[in-house]
Amino acid sequence: METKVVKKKAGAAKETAKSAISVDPFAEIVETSAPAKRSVKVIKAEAKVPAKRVVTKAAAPVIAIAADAFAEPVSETSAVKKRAVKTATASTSKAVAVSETTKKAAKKPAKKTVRSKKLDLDVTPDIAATEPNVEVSAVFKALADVSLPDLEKENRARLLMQTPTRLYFYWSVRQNPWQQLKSVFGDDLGSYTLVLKLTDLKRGTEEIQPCEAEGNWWFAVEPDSEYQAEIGFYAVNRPYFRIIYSNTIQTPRRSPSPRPASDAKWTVSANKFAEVLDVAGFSRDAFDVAMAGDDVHAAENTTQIAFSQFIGSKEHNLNAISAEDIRYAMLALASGFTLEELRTRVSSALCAILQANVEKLNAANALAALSEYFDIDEAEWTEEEFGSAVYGASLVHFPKTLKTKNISSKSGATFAPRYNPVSSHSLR
Amino acid sequence: MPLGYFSLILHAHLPFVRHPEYPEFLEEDWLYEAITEVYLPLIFIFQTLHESGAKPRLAMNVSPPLCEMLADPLLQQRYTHHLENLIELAVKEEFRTRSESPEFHDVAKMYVENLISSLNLWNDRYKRNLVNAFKELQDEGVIEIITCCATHGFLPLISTLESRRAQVEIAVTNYKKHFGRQPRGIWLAECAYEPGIEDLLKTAGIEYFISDTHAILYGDPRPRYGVHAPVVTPNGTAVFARDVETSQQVWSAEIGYPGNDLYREFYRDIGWDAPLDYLKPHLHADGERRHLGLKYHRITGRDVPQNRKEPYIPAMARDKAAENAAHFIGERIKQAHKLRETFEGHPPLVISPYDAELYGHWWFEGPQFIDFFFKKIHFDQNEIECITPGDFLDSGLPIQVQKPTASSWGENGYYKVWINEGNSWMYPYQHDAERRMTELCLTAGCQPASVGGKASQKNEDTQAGSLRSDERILNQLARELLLAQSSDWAFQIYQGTTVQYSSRRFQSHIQRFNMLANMLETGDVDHELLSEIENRDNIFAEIDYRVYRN
Repeated sequence: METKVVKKKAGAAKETAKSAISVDPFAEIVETSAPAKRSVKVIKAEAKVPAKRVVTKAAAPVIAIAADAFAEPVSETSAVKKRAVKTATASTSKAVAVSETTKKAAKKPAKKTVRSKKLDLDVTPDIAATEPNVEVSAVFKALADVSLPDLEKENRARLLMQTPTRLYFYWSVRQNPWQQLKSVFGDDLGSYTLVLKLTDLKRGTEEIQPCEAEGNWWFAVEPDSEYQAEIGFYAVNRPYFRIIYSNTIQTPRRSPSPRPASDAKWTVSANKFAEVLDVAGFSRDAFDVAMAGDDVHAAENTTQIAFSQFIGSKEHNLNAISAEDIRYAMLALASGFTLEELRTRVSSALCAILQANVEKLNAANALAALSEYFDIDEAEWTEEEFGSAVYGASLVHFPKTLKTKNISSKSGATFAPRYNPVSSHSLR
Repeated sequence: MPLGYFSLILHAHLPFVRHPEYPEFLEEDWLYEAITEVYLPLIFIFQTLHESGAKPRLAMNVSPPLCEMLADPLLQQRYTHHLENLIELAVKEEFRTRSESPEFHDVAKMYVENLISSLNLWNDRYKRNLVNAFKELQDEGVIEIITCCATHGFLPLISTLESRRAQVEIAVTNYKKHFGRQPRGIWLAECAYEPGIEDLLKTAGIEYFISDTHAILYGDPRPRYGVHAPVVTPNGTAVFARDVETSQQVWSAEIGYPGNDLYREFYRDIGWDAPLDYLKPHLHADGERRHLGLKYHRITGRDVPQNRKEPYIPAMARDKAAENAAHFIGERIKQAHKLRETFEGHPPLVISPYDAELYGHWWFEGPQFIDFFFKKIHFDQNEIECITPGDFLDSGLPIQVQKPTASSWGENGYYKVWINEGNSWMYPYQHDAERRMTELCLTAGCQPASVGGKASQKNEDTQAGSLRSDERILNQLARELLLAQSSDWAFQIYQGTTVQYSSRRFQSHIQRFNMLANMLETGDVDHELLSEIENRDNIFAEIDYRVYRN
């Protein structure tokens, strides 16, 4: 198991632990190999409780406009002459009998008595009368004074997914962890540091950061993997022991599955599936699926070779990075994207490799490497403005649209999808 | 067999907002506006289409909080008052515009006619209870009503299995109360899915749920027909995923129909235009301006400033709605041809879900569009057939087995809207309450008698019938937890709209949960406080806390 990023926290005791401890029902000891790299990143408790709020009704937006509906009538400059009002509701409401009384009332507006007399409407003035006498109620006051209490001292370790590449972790330890450590080792705490650790259960990698007994943290992670976070004590060459650990989170793929159905009734070739993706609006994925072809493992190898040629180095371990992510980055760079623009769209591990080879990142190199190993033709790609705003209460996501030029497959496959560097979905 | 199937799905949901402790409350207007602008027009259109033989067919989620509000006598009474007040203003406006602003007079007349029709429908046809109206439409075969998570809880961000299960099972129980049958489908709040949720649905007897596009497109194995056919999870629960093209066509602010220049401008409202003195009888007691729903201008142009908007002309907008409906159908036929060709003869199914409130509230002409859509699709063509997901399952067409991926329909496709730097502070409190709820239920399960001391002696309140104090507290604990879990609060905090109200609502439910839990644990029951909390947060009268036991 590879472990990375840790550093002693100032003030940690020096001596070596010699025995295991179990501090609470969640606790267990986990030994790991010594970490390979170190860096300092002290995580501070960031759990924010909002300040006490005062009840105020939300203000509607104020639009600074002239009240021209109430201004002098404007001349009829509109090309549209007045017509009889005919809306769906109005026209379809013929079935609804509007009483004569109501019609008459509608012609004689403006007085407050209209509501109760002329329209014979069911006014409900008793609403207010039925209200509790809230002003003097002790219960009312108790409920009006809204505030969140401090969270009780508890063991908490909860990992939540925000996106396939970002997790949120919050934690707290009920008892002073250092007291727990001391109860086992006495004063011989050596160089132990309280840390939070995120383990990629699929790839077998770990990320360790010094932390405090309570706080929260955002992790950059990989799609299509499984993670668990924990709080524990770490020291070089001494046993690691865990204090609390979280639930596990599976991050989803952010690209199509490489696996067609095994049942012949549902199986689909890569080229046909690319067509299916394209008609669903996922044209970037369609392009990638078509480019990778049916032999996913061969495509993975080819991708790694092409990428190594692109960056001029075979030293980087690409096994933990998805081939789709690598192709995505190369195609985007080939289309003129900068590394900065890619930063939030590819995994942090891939981004680090690209950053380390930044001087070799140019569109020509990327396209040359892709063209050599994949059946694609040269093309120009230009970004178009995105369209994601929507009406209504939901922020529903839409594919981002780009100007594209057709890019055809050299292999003469029946379907040659268009390439959209970051389109097809707005999931990146 | 038609060329292709089309399934319109409307998601009607509002958070539970009910404040009996105040004579009036701004946020209750959300419900009142939706009744006037969305629910009444849609119900009336569906009923009229049905009676005319146009055979509309669609699925509609009427969320449990919305059902509870629509069936609530206090809110019904307050809505009546709200509508009457609006009619009074509209009538004043019709009189005023006749002489002062003739260019707006037709619109003013339209409002009077529409609102009076609405009042008649409300009082006479539906007896002030729109749940019955929806039920009637379902019983007549017009709509297939599906349920939703009990309080629109965002399941992947709920920490315990018991709390997730409660969101589903309480929703099903509530559905049965209102609609007298078992729901076939569920709208997972925000289409938020993660693997494993289908097991909760299966246990609750749910046959299918709605997901976002990539849940299926990125699922494993590759879906043979993409999102244009449902899949079933290995446990047999079917998944219907959103079609992107139809979403964009209606919903996109850039290319969507609602942005047409001829349609009514949403943000230009008499509540902000008219002199304050004139409006005062129609405002709340605080005299603050607010949207009142009478709007006189059309969009005019994307970049036209609010003070340069031109008068709204209903007849032209109506013609445009008819034109858009015809275009929409034309595009569906083209899409079906393309999909059928791609699928080598297999009939595609296009799932087209929207917030119901888009139709009428945000897009004033939306109900007209739906009216024209169903008329034209029935009378003018025979290539596309409108069905519901339940109809598709009944068709016997084979369905591929697949494991969908985690997803939501929110911005960027995952959970960012509901967990981010601005609202992550909520989750430790919510999760503590979730854990504590099950612990308290389990503890209560071990105690045959009610909580002791003052509690048992003071249990004189009749509101909760024959329930013991501890059972009342446990039931109310469940309500407070459910209300705290509403995804609406985190959403609005992220959106930056009604942040104070949403934060306060979340905090108040957590606070009430803690008050009640302490009563239960100490046995020191404040009956006045308990009754008041029950009176305010009275959602789900039928609730049984035992659903939280593991």
